[in-house]
Formats: sequence, structure tokens, C-alpha cells
Amino acid sequence: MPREKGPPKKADLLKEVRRLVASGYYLETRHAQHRMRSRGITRMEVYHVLRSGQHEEKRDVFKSEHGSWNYAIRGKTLDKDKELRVIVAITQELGKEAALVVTAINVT
Amino acid sequence: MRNERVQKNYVDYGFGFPVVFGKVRMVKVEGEWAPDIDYGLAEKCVIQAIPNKPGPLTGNQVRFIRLHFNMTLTRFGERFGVSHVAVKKWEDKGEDRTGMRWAIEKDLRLFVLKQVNVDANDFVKLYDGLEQKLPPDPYIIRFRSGSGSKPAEPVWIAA
Repeated sequence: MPREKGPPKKADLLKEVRRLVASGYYLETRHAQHRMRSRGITRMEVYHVLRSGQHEEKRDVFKSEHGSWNYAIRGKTLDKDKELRVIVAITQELGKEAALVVTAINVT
Repeated sequence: MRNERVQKNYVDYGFGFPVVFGKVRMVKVEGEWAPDIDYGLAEKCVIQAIPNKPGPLTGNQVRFIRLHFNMTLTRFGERFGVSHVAVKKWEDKGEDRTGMRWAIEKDLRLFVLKQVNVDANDFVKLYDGLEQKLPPDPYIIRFRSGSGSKPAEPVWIAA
């Protein structure tokens, strides 16, 4: 299936996400919070993955309904006992740029 | 269509245990509702409130403390004179009390207090308070309504 086209992706996603998280421009959708709770993933673990994980470009998805990309960042938790994939969007909808966590998944 | 509303009480479980926020601004972003909470500030307030919890710490609260200070199981265990396996056992208690010895829990609370830079009077006051046996009731943290995304001072309330 051909990939859906969209606007260009963020050139330096990890740097941008880390800057936003460090500045407090960080949000989680209620859906993400429900999923994190049911999967036993805490915010501290998500922070760690966003700060130290790698961009998993092949898992990025363009959301045509919002005209933006959902990016996948994958990494291990501090104890290295779990590997997570955090799906994050860079949103401008609040009049400021913010990292929006859409969901988080255990991949191990 | 409105993309913003205020929720009277919002219970957040992101730190691993319930934290109640009063009057939270909910915003619709990318088609999904999201609470507009300054989690960085909330995390600082929660870590400051932890040493004064009226009841015993739960496994998830110990985990929160450890990860807040960016400590591995091994490093945390070394600091409190136990193995990483013992730390894991405490944390695996989840929402239940850890079952750690009271001497260690006192040390843990004083460790947190020292890390968050309190003055000596607060330290002595907490130490004296910890000499009392804690009640067994469960307690949760509640932030009274703050301004915008900024939470106000948290208080412990009986669950």
C-alpha cells in the first residue's frame, strides 16, 4: 500500500521533542493516559524514552484528518527491563508548540 | 464547537498513583481531549509532598521517587542498604504498602526531603513526626485548584 503523503516531517524530531519536554510544553491525551495506565506505563518512563530513545521513522503515520504527523520514538526504560514505543505529535493547536503524547506501547 | 472546558476534578494516574487536580482546563488537541496540566511542576510538588504522607508509602510511590531521582534499582538499593531484588519487591506491591522496614522508610523520606532542599527545621520536624507510628489508612494527594495549568499546594487526604 502506498504511503500517505503529508507535509514534511520535523527535521530534527528528537531534539525538538526533548526541547519541548524540558520546557514543560508537554501534553498527554486522555486516551494516552488510559492506555498508559492499563499497560502499566508511567509518565516517568515515557519521559525517559522521549529523552533517550530513537526515532523509529518507519512507524511514523500521517494523520490526514489533522494534517499532521504522529511520530514514533522507541527506547528502553531506565532499568532497561522494558522497551516502549511512544507515539507523539507536535501540535500548534494551543497557539504554542507542544509535544502531545498520543499513546505509549510496550514492545517487549 | 468548543475546544476547551474546565473539569472540576481530574484524577491523574500518570505518576503511578492517583493525584487529584481541581479545576483543570481540558483542551481539544488533534481531535482528542487532553488535560492542560504542567506535569513538570506537578512532579516537583508531588515529590515535595511525599515525605509528609500520613500513611505508609506504596510500591508505586517508591518507584516514583526512584525514577524522579533517575536511580536504577541497583543504585537505589545500594543507597538504602538492600539488594535491587528487594527494591523490585517493594515496587511490585503497586498500590499496596511496600512492607519495607520502618527504619528504611524513614531514611527514604528524609533522603527525599534532603534532595528537595528543605531547611533544617523542616528536617527536624519531619524526623520527629516520623517517630510516631503511621496510620494504616490509604491517602491520596489532592491539588486544590491552581491558576491555569499551574497546580496549587498539594495536600494529603484520606482516600
